[in-house]
Amino acid sequence: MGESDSDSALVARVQKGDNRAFDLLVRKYQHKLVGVISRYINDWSECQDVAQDAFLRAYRAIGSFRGDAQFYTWIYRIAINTAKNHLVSQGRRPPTEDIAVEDAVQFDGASRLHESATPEHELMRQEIEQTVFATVEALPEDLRTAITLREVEGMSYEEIAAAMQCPIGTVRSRIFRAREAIDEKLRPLLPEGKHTS
Amino acid sequence: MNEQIREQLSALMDGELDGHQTRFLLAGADADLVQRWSRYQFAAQVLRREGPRPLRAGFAEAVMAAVAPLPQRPSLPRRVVHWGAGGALAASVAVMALLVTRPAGEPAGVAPPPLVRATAPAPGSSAIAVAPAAATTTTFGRGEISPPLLFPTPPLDAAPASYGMETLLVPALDARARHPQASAPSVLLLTPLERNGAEAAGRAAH
Repeated sequence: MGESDSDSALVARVQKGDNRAFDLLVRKYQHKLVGVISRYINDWSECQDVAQDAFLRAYRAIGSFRGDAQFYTWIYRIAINTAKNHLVSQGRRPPTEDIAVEDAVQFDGASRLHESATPEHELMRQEIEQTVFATVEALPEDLRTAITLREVEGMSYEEIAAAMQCPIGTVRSRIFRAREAIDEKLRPLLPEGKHTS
Repeated sequence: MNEQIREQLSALMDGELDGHQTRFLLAGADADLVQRWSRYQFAAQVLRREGPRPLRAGFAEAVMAAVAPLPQRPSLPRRVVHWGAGGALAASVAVMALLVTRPAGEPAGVAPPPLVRATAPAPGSSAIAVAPAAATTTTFGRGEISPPLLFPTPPLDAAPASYGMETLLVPALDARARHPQASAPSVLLLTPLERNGAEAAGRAAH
């Protein structure tokens, strides 16, 4: 089990007409998609427009998604094509070399600030990062280890259970409680419907 | 939103929720759950140092407002589908019968002997009278379609494949044709009761 399983489950729900599942996919990938588009388009606001267009294209095409590739690979390709088409439609020349999806996933968005990023936004971003990391540091050791193994190392519940020598149910509970603790600190910084949509 | 649902949301994020639980979780998803999902994802990306940057307010809401519900395939009730399949099968049998079952070498204009003969009613014998021959005799000539209940042949299973068009046209569509009573070579009609049965029989004879 892993993130791709979560995507597969959500995609299957969308294909059965459940739009709430697509809402979750949008919210999961919105930052990453805007990030990869920002490699082609400099203006941050324009990147978001193109990303929204890419999500719409993905929605319309999701019926044909058969799971041959992972969902994020599929939607990233749509995003890249949408960005290139956008540039062409604007009379601008798209880059001749594509960005590998793997590189796009791994890119550090913070290091690619654009001129449109305001100091206010940058300050907010730093504050959010500091808050999240400080919260994790303050967690009890079992929660901190569980959330770190999951989010940073990308281990499955089963692997974490083996590493921490505890039942899978305990792992699930620890990760959940760690997320709740982080969310409690994060929520005041991210008002509902703002910044993270 | 109770703690159990929030824990399921966390498990879904990690791909540790099965299909049924996912369906039920989504069925009860409200704005609070969706916002929490957004924050969980945001925090995870921060922890992975993917550097998520703030997006404009209502980014996801705008996408969701733009998507129309996916077109659903019209799902016919099973009964309708069953009937449709049965009708198609019956039509196929009828067409095949028309094309295949004319006996070779037999002239088209010669009608076979009638297969149903009416019997005259016994005067005053019963309120249920057998119809007069002149009025009700039905012959199953070539090209005529006969009601299944009047069909005087053995059960279809026993009929030879080359029996003729009249054996294949209708009986297969009606299970009643297999009933033993259906093979009786007579036509029964219900007639109103009359006070004087003999008088009625006399009128019928004329």
